[in-house]
Amino acid sequence: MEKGNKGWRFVILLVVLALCLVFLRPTIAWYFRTSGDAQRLALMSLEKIKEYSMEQAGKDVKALEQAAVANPDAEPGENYAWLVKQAKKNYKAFKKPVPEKFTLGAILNSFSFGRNAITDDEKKDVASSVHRQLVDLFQEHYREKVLADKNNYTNSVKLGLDLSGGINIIVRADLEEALRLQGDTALVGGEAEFKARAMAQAVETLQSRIDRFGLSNPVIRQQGEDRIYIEIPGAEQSSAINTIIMGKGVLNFRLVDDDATNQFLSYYYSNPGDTFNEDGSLKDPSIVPDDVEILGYYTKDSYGLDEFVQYMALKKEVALDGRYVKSAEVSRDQMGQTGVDFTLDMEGAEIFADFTGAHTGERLAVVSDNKVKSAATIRTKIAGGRVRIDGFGLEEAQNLQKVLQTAWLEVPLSVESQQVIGAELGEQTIRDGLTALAVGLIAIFVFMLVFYKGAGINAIVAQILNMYILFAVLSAFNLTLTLSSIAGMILTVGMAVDANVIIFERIKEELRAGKARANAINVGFEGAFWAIMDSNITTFIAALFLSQLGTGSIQGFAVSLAIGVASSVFTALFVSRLIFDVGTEAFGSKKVSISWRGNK
Amino acid sequence: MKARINFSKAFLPCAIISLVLIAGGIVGLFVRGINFGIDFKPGMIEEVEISNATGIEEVRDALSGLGGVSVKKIGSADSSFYQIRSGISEDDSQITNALNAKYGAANVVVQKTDFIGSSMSASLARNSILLLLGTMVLIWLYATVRFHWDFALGAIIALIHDIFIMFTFIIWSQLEFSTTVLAAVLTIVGYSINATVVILDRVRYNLPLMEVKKFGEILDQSLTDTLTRSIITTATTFFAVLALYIFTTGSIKDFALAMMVGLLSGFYSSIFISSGFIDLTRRNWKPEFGFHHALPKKPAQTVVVG
Repeated sequence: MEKGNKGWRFVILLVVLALCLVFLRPTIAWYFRTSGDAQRLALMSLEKIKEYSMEQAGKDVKALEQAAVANPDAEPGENYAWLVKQAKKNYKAFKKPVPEKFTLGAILNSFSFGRNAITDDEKKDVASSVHRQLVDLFQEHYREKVLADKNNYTNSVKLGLDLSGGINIIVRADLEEALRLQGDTALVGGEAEFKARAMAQAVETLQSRIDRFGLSNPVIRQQGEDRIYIEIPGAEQSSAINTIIMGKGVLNFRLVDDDATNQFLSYYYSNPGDTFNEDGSLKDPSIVPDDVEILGYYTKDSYGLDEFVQYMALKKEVALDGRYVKSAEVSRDQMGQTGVDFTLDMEGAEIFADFTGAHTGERLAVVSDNKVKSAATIRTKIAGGRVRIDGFGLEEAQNLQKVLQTAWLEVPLSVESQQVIGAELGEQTIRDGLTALAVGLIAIFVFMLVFYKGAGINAIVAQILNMYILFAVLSAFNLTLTLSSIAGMILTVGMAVDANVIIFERIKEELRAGKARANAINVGFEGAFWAIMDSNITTFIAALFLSQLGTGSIQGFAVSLAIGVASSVFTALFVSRLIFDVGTEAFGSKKVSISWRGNK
Repeated sequence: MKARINFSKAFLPCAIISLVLIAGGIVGLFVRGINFGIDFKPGMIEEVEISNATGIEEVRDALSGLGGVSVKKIGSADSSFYQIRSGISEDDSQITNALNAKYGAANVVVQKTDFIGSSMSASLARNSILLLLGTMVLIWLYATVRFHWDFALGAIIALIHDIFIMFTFIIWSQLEFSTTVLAAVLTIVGYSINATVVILDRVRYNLPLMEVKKFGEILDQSLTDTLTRSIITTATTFFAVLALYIFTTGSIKDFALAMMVGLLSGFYSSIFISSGFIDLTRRNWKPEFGFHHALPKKPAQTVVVG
């Protein structure tokens, strides 16, 4: 390395450190700057986040309006700065002079610009429009805050189950039994296709049931041919989860009560966030007739997750039970319209014919696990047990077909392996791991300082940067931190010192041979270069191979070892060298503080 | 250069000691076997609380009909927690049924179940062995390209030695062999090669500089030159692993224990075993061929021969 390029080397080092900080930002933001409550919120499912935002928005807007009525000249608090900004925009959009001080009244007024209200009815209309705008704004505000936290979580180093506590379960689907239960009736695409379809359905059923827990980030994936791996961080009640897994889905057909739906929705919009109790029941049951209940209508979003569309009032009485459904297929009719055809057995066909005859023109909903999946108008009396629902796209049709098939395609599930790690145990493990890391580091630091005196500081700085880079890379790749990856780090610490030791020993040799500081350092680094590269490349090969072994614990270990080996080469050859050179040139040091013996 | 320590005199005695140790390990394999963890042995480990059980013998009796079941008590003498281990791979309710029949369902609470099916553990064991072999072949290839085939082979022999020594320890201490302990073995593979390569690098460096009659002298000089580094690196890594051993529990503690044995073995083998092997292959070495037998090292010209 040329002496003159020291400035550049320093710049490169700063760039690397800054890049690492960018990678670490979400991790730091999540673990150190997000409060426990905010973390819990961010970890909830999107559905729950939406509910939360709506509820908060409703409460806040109500409070704001009341405050404005009580005293229009009051000034908004600090936490409404974002609202003031929006109000400013409104003033500018309508070319009105922006007031110097925003009062509550001025803010609220800004949302009714461009609307003239003379009669009482018009005034009422404008007021409700302002209210809706505000609710939307507040809702967006809350959602963005929670989603920003969620985003930090997604991009941060996550804790593995052994550290966070939680449950992992491997469920086995008995496909042979499913095949036997099915009989010969629906073997359209052969056995292999039937099994694939049954597995896909089992995974999906589990997904939607676990989603209902509102727990965040459950991992559910197919493993091998007939196993499903489930990981639920933070969960501890294994029995409750078992019931959910083993429970059977409920599918039925029920009438939609359109009048009650409209009645409910208008009440709901004027009382946002104040309609339901915690458990989802209505606070005021009298707003809908006794024989209906309110359920959510869901479609699949682009991620395949259930997405809430709106509430519907359904008759409590079941028109047709799902067990009568015998098969369901997606098809196109002569007009090219996609739809879902399903067949009913004899008994079901009879019930259905009577029912559709009596309720022609009304809407019939498909309800699965208390979620409305589809609502279609009954055009005519349907006899013969062949039913067609259409009027939607291919994707929606396929989703509905899957829902219908849960009625007849039964896949027996059994828990094959289950591990429960209590959250307390997880915390204890983190403490143990971090203690071991800290004690190991300090022991090594003291040793290096005692043995290599001044040069030991180089090794320590290199070590600290090494840990910093290691964490940054873990964060950049969203890797999971487990106890074994902490073990990998500790080992990395031990091994990373090695590169420094090789260099220092070489420098000492050159000093003994009578060389001056600058020369000894140059020759020492050059002589050590290939020893360090060769030894670390071989270790890197071993670590890469390790990371290919499927088991999670070894993978975590190997990945942190591989990253650590790479970054320790960088810190030893680049950073440690830079420190030596700065000492030589900037401070004009002539001697090297590297051992207890004299320099000659 | 430092005063040369005569390591080569110890090559033969060390080889014999190592062979005896490894032979002891092989005997142990047949006498005691490896205490496989749940990852490698199909079956089930269940932790059960039986509130009205009077002793471990009684629990064993209750399960004697099933065969291949071992029962251990967890915790203090008066605890009612039992760890039941069995090779059962299909129906997981047999044990619970047998216990329920004896003690009544109300008194038997299953606390924890770890279960691994036979296909899973078989594929894991196969993968591990392939992984180990693959790692060694790649390391050997790299070392052959960078050094010379017999240097590379010496390094691999040192590796195999370390693996055997660790297994000898695992067998005789009956340490539970889980994937985590396997990780320790694989780490030592990476670590020990590291130590050997540093020594070989030094041999490569010393080769054109020394005028000697026997190759063993070059080995001795190189081992002497790198001894401080070997000791310090082993010591610092040992500190880190010792901290792990002291402050953690469970499988990571086992990992740390196996690592400590491996570290010492790696330190020893990189000095005596790999160099001993190279000394053996180069016993007829003549100085004039010396340059031919190693790659020319890069910065040789800048060094003044001392």
